[in-house]
Amino acid sequence: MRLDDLITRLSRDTSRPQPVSRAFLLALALGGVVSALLFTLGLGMRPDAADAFRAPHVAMKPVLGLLAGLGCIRPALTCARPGAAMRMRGSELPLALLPVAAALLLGVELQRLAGGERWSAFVGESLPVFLVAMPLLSLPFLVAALVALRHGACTMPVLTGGIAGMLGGGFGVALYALFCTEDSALFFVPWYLAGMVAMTGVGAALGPAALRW
Amino acid sequence: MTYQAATAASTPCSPPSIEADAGPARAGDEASAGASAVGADPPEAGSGADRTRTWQLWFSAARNGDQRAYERFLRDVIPVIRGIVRARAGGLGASVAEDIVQDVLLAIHDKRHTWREDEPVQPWLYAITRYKVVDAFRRRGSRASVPIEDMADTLPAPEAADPTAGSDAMRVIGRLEPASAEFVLAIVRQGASIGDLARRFGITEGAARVRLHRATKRLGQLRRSMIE
Repeated sequence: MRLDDLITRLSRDTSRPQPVSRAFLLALALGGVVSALLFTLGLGMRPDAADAFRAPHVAMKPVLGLLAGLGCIRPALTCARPGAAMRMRGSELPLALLPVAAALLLGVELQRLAGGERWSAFVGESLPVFLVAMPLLSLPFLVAALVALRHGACTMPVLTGGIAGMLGGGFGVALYALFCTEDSALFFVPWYLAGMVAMTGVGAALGPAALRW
Repeated sequence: MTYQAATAASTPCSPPSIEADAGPARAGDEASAGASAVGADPPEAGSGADRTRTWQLWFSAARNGDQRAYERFLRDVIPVIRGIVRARAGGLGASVAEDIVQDVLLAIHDKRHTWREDEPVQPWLYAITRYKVVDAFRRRGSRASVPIEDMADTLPAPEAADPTAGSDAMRVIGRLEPASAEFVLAIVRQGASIGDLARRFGITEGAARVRLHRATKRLGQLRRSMIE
């Protein structure tokens, strides 16, 4: 009986597959290297970095991205195992801090600026650069995450893909923030968040195809 | 053959590879042809709670390299997996169900590292099984002709005068929506092909295939709900 042979064959394989977490972190590191390379070649650190990041609201720019990126690691790994639906419980703290930080930054900036200034702050000057560069910096992380997650067994591919997307978007935005000189929260809060949401959508769309097993 | 207290009194929590309880071999255990003589069998999976614990022990030992425990585990879970697959995908036919069972076994092996020792095995197993069943439906969605031929064995012969009396299959069909029931009966009673159905109901062949697939899927669901 074929099933019998299959069982015998399977039981003889005593190899131990690598845990998903190790593959995942390795992949992220690799993705980080690629993104860092793209960053160095295409953007580069902002010239006034040493001074600019002294201001707390500017220092928050990369932090926003890191909160999202780091906050998605554990959910992604949880989703990489069968039956994740039962295990997904609320508040991953870093992710939960993200909207709080965003709201605070926005609130402060809205108070600081008058009506006319708000719109121009929102539109900023480097939007086209952002719209091109941010996804490019995010994609290596997203692709790396998806490839690593294939090693697992994800039963909710859309959600998992979305989490990988937010993760990629978060790290991509964090990296972009090292270049970006638009320091008004009215610019970076909505646009960075929008970028992350867009990457979440890309990840969710790729999930079902990429994470099949 | 029953499991006496003797089996329970022996060490149910010891790892499977430790010998010491030669419990009676389970009657009908297809794996036990030679194995029962060795006497190193762990407690057989009897009631639900025992089974949970046993599976956990076996699979855990298996992942640490215990081939015999792995073999026992795989053999023991097959009937349960088969039951789930048949309940959820019965409409696709027996041979397809067996394919799915094989897929599940392969997946258990390929993804064995995704189970955590501190969790029960069943939810993990069931999640894999459900996923593979859904995958099977997704892959076979277009080949609607397969399911109905498999179902034809259980449906009444075309020449039966009043097939509704006491027939399980007809009772299930009777619970379909009238349009779907008509569809299914046209195939069974008149041997209609997809082309015939398309012409008769005034729809395209593609639409006929989709309707047939849905009807068969619904039949499977109804049959399952009637069994449970």
